[in-house]
Amino acid sequence: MKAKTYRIALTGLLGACAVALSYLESLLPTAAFLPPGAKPGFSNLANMFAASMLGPLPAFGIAVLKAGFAALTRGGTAGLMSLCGGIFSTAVMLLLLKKDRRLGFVGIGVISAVCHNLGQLCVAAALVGNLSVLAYLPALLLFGAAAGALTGLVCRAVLPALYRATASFRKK
Amino acid sequence: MKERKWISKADGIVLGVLVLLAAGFLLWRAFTAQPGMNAVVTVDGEAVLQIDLQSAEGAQSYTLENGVRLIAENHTVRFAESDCPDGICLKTGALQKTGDSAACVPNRTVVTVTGDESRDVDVIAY
Repeated sequence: MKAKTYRIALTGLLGACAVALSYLESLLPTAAFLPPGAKPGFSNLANMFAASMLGPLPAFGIAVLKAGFAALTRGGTAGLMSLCGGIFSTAVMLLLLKKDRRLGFVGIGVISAVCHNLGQLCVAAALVGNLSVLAYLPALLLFGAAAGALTGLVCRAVLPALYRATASFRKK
Repeated sequence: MKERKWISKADGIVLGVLVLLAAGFLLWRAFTAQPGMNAVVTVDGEAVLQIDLQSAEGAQSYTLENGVRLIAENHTVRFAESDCPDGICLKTGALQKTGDSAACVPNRTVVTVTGDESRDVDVIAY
């Protein structure tokens, strides 16, 4: 019972971290060579940690929370795109963490980042009723791969420390 | 907890495939794209405006019903004004080559540069 309460609290903390990271990365300057609207997606760290340590429900919860934050700060369209990208990438991430034996953290980070971009782009294409937005795809694939690799590396680097720090939060 | 590597051989394959895909697409675009003839503007998937980029000399401004403003200038076209929250369409900049596209998703507006094939239609229209 107590462990369950801890898990809920930890999920809330991670959700707050995800929202804070989303906000912080919106303060970063944009570079001209990057595709317009591309973000490094640091908040996927919270997602990846929740997916690997806490399980499906907290991970999806954080994805939904991030989408809600995007909807409040950047409008309904951004919220919907974030929701679909987040749910899709979290689902793939959970599946890979559970089933896959060959990929490393970098691979999972890259694949989930690319899935996030794909999900968003599909929503965008559906909303504008036009496939020409897929022209953004190659740039987003490259940028997503770089951002996802970074997320995977950072996640692997901090995971042991977080694992120890949260030992009492998890099931006893 | 099973130990997962930082980076594995499979990760390398994933990265390689992604980079090849993206590079292939970009190279294909670089070789096939030509200076655009027209810009087609769609809102909600419906074509609402066609701008002739060949004859456009000075800056020409077009305001759509949804408040989005486009500027055609020197054979290019760009989003000049939009009330969307993050302004990604404005940051996309000027479009010039066939297949170039800019989208304002909150306003459901897409601008795509097209080439010769739509010129035939213009000739028939005259």
